[in-house]
Amino acid sequence: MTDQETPVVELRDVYKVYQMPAGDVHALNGVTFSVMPGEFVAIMGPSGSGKSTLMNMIGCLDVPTAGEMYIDGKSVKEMTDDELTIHRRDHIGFIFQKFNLIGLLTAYENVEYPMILKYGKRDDTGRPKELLASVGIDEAKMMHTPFELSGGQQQRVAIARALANDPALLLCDEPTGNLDSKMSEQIMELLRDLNSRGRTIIMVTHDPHTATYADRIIVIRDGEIVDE
Amino acid sequence: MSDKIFSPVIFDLSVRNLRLNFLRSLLAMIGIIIGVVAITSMGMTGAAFSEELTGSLTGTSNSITVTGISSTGSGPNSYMTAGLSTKDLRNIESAVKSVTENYVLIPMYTGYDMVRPAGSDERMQASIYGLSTADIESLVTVEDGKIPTGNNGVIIGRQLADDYSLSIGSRIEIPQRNSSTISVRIVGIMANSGSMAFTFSTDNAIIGTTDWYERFHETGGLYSLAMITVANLDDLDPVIAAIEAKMNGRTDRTTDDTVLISDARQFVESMKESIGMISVFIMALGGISLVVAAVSIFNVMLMSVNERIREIGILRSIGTLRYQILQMFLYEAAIIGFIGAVIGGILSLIAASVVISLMLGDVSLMFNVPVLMYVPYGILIGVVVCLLSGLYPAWKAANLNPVEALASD
Repeated sequence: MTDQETPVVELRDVYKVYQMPAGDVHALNGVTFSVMPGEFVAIMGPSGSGKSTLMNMIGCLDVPTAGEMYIDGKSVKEMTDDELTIHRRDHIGFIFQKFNLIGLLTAYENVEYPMILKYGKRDDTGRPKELLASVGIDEAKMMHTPFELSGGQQQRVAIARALANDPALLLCDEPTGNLDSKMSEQIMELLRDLNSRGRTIIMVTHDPHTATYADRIIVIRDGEIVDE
Repeated sequence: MSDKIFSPVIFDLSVRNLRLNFLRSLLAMIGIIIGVVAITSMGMTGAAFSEELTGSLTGTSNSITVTGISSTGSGPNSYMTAGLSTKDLRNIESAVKSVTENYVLIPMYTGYDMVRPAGSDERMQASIYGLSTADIESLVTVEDGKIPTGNNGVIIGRQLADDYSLSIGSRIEIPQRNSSTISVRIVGIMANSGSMAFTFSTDNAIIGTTDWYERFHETGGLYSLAMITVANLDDLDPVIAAIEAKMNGRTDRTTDDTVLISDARQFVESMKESIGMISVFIMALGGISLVVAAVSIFNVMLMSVNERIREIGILRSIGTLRYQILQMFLYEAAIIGFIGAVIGGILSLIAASVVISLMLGDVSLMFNVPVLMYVPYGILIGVVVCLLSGLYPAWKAANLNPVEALASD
């Protein structure tokens, strides 16, 4: 966020082809766009449009078949798997539709985990507790495992986890897809609040209401951007 | 980064997963326990056996045996073509004397025969020896009865007496070549040496005087062998060299050696080697159970990977490196392996003590370094086997595509 000129993510004519037994699947067909620091971008489109592929690509979980993609000005083509993994760990916070918390760990430990990965030791700063408190998880709930929490609570824990290593970019894949409307509202307020404090957010959704929280909407269909 | 070698948080995840799948982990562990017990207790028993052999043979390690291998002017008797003549014995004795004065030389007749206790149909294999009365006295410990003199009878081993319920006064029949039998009275029973001795297998022996032996065996005046015992072990090699030079040295005259010198130490070595080979073979059999254990751990680990594909996807997406995933599964294999192998090591101490006391009758044989060394080795092998069988599943987990892993349910 120090350099306002460098896009957080930049895609130039990106293609993604999956080779399947039944033939090649063209998930992305020449996608070009960039996201600047501080933006709140929603990516919309029907299922099968390629938005999940796009999301995985931005999240450094997948690499383009053709075209260029830059993360903080760095080409992902030149990054090894370990470098991409470390980038995910330190610079991207993931928020999934299915929350994707680690069932073996408590809420507190789920938030602490990315910090341990980064610093190689258990937390002694109290940050996991602060983060959990800031998303509305009280002290008692912190020692529960994900299965003992409601969907809304799990998503709050997931947001706290996404923020653990203070990432510049939050990637949200249908963050309210598994929540009722009241919960969705609260989660979206939380995200808007985080964005207003300078964090870049890219969100995939097919819910037009959720998309209204974003200040920019990209519509994708059949692997191409059709509206922006 | 220090967590390249050991990562507590990854280790913690492994422990939690093992606890979550406790029964499955336990079954895999039992496999390793059985495998480790099998190889370790077998190895320990073999080593104990070897220890016992060495211990029992140290008494004879300062002796050598000289056997005649070519007959000097033998008669038409094909039964006895080789032996030591009195001249040979004189030569041997002078050779020994040239090295040391502290020696014992015992010439003897030896043979194997199928004999049977009088009034019985049961035949048994026995070693029959003919020695002078004085030599019998110096070689054996009488437990019961007396030393045979002249033609009055024989002294037999305790083992033989027990096996065929023979006692002082019983008679043994020794069949002759012309289908007659010679009957001999038992006058004494030797103490059980409880072991194999080099020249003498006293347990299974029938010992009589030379006079008695000559009565029914055509010896041609040739002794079968001479046993030479030196007081000082350091004299053994010079004595062997001296006899070798005196008896076999005249290569200009004959191509064949006259005598064969066997050294108890060689015998001990070759016996140890044989026992070692048998132990390895038995351990290999035990190793089969370790292979079975390895397969079961492989299976458990693969199941663990397959059940946790999604979790692996999550871990990878939030920044867990490949090698950390690899570590996580290897830790699981190592924990199962370590706990299993240590329990196996402890149990094999018990198993080995039972087997050793049943087979060798002396548990104290177990408390020798070469025997006990099998425990750490067994544990190490158990852990290594677990790690090896966990390698592929761990590698598979580490190389999962995070996108596909996340999408799985």
